[in-house]
Amino acid sequence: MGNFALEGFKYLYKSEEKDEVLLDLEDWFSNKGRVPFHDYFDNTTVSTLILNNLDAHAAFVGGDPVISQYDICYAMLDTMFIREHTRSKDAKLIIEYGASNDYIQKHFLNILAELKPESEYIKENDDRKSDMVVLNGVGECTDPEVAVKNAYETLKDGGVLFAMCIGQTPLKQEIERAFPNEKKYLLAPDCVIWKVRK
Amino acid sequence: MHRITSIVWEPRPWYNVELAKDIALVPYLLHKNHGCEVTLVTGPGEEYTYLEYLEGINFVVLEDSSIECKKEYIRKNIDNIDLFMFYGVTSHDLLMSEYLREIGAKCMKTCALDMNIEYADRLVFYKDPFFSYFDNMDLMWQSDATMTRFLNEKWDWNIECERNGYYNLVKGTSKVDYVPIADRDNTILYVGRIIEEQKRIKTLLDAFVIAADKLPDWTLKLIGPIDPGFFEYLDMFMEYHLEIADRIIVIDNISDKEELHREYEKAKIFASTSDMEGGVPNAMTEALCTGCVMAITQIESYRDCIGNDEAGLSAPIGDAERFSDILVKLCTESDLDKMSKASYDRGQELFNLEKIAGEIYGKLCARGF
Repeated sequence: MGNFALEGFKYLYKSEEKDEVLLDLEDWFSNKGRVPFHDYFDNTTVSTLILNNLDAHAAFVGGDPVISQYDICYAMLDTMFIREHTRSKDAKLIIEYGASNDYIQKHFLNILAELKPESEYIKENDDRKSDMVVLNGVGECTDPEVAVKNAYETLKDGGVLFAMCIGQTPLKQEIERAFPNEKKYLLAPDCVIWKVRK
Repeated sequence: MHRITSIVWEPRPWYNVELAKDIALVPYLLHKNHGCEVTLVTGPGEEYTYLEYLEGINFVVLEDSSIECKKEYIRKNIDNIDLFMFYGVTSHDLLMSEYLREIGAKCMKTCALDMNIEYADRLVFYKDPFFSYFDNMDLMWQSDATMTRFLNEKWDWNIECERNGYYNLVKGTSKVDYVPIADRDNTILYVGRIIEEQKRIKTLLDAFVIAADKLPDWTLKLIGPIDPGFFEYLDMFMEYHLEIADRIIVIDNISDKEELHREYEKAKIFASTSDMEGGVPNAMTEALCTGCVMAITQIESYRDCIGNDEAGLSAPIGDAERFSDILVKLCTESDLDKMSKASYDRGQELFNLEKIAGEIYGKLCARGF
């Protein structure tokens, strides 16, 4: 199991295996997005986006006492999501599959409002290929096999899939079966994040 | 005849030294080589001794450097302005640009960006007043290739690459006669403000100390205005390194451009340990145009200067040891004459300000100037 930490100007996933830099705020040239890495004019930065979401987390998850304790996992997922959106100025199409709640969606929409408002975040697949897919495992997914299959098929080549699961759910088992060799980010005994590049 | 105006962009007058830089020289060369009528506008300032070299331009001194005074000038003269040239993204730039919009000015607008990566990251370009400022420009250029590429990836506006260039104000030309390396001294030259902030002079001094034993015949020469807070450090440094103190020459500024130019022509190596610069600094363009071999830190524009190491070598920012390595390597380089010639050729090709001003004129004409 690992930790999510900010050290110096680096957001890290720290684990026994090795530390992984999730977002390096001194890698100035990597920021092609609208929101600065560092503050100069008292404006929003990527760090304030993460912190604001952390503050608003309880409201996002509607006071669900089980889910609300995973705020740090969400903060890490937000950080990984932000990193993807700083790699180019282009708007993205993001499609979510999995559980029907909007816990992850609220986090991501909050970020996109500042970072890339032209992006589109949808939960209904309309046959378009997406730049990013989200597998929502924070809650019950009625048909995990279809959700994972559709998520991967929808994704453009080079696109990225984010998944977050809480608890030993059928969706988690299905993701593990579909992506057995992909790295898992474990922040709590029962919370796992995946990032899969197609 | 095209009528061009540039008004000092800060709430202060032009500095005399700025008249010898691209910010004044580009408009001047548009006058000299392309027949434009150019007006430079400032508040009351110091004595402008370089003005005598900018023959034919109008130099207007306002009552003061306030934005009100500048707006008043714009209001009265707007019908005589075909092109308004902005420089950078300062408070007065933003206010003057907004005022031009307010009064419905029809003139073209250009903006010379001199950005470094930290500033470009922090700039909230997608919100006003910055968004409107950039969106209002007919032509924008950045002064180095790396940042130009980056801005084009980050912004929706098209940014051209027009480097800072060299122009010999006294001789009235960008052409420089090449002095072969054999006719030069074993000098490592630095020209610029002698200050720790941004220029990191301590790193340069430390690097020379580390390299000194291996370079017994070499001298480090620093030329530029010395920061008052730096005198004490220099005294201490010289006292502590008495054994090489006679090989470190510090000259508190040379305002005679020809005398300074000869210093470049006499030096084999030009060194800079800056931690940030907007584009390619003027001192580096002159060093390249005179054929100095470059020892520089990896600021954004370092590849513009040294290419693929054919015109010099680079070291990471703030690393005295690595910088001393490149000094030793260059000073003992058997092919230094070849590198010097490559530096000179690079200067003539990429940093000739007359050529650059011509490119800008061409781009303006293509946009309906």
